[in-house]
Amino acid sequence: MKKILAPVVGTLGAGVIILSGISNFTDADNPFSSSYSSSASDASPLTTPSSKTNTTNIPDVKTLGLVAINYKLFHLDQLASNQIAFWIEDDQGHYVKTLRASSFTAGGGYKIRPDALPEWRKISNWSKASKAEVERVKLPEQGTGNHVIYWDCTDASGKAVKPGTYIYKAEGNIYWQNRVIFTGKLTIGKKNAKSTAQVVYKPADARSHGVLLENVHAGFDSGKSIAAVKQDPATRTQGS
Amino acid sequence: MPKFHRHQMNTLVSTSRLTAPDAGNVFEWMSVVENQFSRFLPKSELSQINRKAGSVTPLSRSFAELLFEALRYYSATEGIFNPFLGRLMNAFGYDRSFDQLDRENAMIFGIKQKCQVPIGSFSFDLDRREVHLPTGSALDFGGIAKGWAVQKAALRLIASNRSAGLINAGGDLMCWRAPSDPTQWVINVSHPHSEDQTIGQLVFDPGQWGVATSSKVKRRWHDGKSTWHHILDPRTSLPSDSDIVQATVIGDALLPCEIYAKCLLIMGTQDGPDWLYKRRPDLLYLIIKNNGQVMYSSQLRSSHILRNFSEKITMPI
Repeated sequence: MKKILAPVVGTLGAGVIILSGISNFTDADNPFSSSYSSSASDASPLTTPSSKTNTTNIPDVKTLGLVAINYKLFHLDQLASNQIAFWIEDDQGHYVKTLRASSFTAGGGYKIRPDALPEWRKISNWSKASKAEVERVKLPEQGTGNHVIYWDCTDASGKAVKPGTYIYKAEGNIYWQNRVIFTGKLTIGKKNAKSTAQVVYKPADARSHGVLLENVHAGFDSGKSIAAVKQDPATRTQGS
Repeated sequence: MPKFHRHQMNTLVSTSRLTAPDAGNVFEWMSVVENQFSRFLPKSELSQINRKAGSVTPLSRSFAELLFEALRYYSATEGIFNPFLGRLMNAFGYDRSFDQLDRENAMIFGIKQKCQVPIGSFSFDLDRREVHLPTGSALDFGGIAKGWAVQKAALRLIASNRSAGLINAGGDLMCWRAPSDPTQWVINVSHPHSEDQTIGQLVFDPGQWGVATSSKVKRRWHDGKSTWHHILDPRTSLPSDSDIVQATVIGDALLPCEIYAKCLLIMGTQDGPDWLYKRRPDLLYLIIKNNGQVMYSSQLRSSHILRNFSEKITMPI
């Protein structure tokens, strides 16, 4: 039996730690160490974790292919700007899926800045988005330059969409309520396709406050998988 | 480069460059760990053991494994890492999953009065796999369980000859790649006050790497008078008031990084770096001080891991 005097923990920790059955504690191999298993063989003697039968949200659907949306982003050094969102609608203007949206707005920043990305928030009914959906679309700050995001041709529930014409949209906040909207159409099916989005500023003189997005264009690669491309963002480490 | 993710352990768990079946196994394993070690789930093994404080309680093998690791670091850090602070954490109002906490009006009990003094000693019988937790104390495996789970999942995949992969649980991550794999891992380090903002990048050579970041900003709440955070200094029984707001530690495994990042945050810049170097010279660190000054361990500064960092970052007023 080995006793380890607990160091400076006042009255909050254990006064003395007693370990029996081991002679060298600090550098010893962990006697219980094993490769992990999610089987029931290591069930707690107290309870069986309920999640052992959970299924996971792994995308496993056959889709038509992959849409790559390219854009050039500029950083505007001013208040209430630099928020962007990309989403898909069908040819009737019905919402299909959000691809990415700036972390601040997607994560609830619109509650303190109601001017943020109103068109996207309205059509996506974003205030009702699930936590998982919010985490999926959050786009960290990107630097000035060319970027690409992908649509794997699934809808918001993860199901493959049918062949047809779809609308891709990008909205950006230039300065408070001054925004830019890009809209492009793309037909997806058995053939590859390309298109360039048209730009509208809201209000019309919004461009005078700066250029946030330009050269938004998309390409459809029939049969290509999302697994074949490198996706933004890079992994990050943040405080936990 | 497929990425999969799932919301678990009150954070986003994601994988990169793992196949869908491998990623699925990782998520399932993380769920098992969460259900076993969460302080916030009444049916978790940890909650049940805490409720049985004062009596001898049998442990599952995996609980015994993590408890052993927790005690190892408790000893190695001379109590700066302390897994016995569950009751104190509750007293500070962090008594439920953080996203369920009323961060503006969290209930703070009279800490000195309500925190029961533990009676008796803590014992862990390795042969019988039994624990005796003193009455009035409670285990909290919050951070260590997450790091341990990610590390075990990553090491298992490495042992199974997966040539490259990354598992990230809310910023605590392990990544690896074989020398023949040309794609570098690039890890953005977030600004302590804005996860959207990147203050620099870590770029890793082939091999296996663990990275953990601990922050006083991420999980904080108010009681109507004061702002509290979840990094408790066991020497004062209060949230750490050190001059460090964020600490990132890098090594070849995640668990020690998770432990020592928290310790640095508690100890501050005057004592922390030397203290760490004496114990774990193999670990690299990156510290953000409250005033925005960025400090690096000398080994990290001389490495080619750092990219685009500056000596000082802008902090909110």
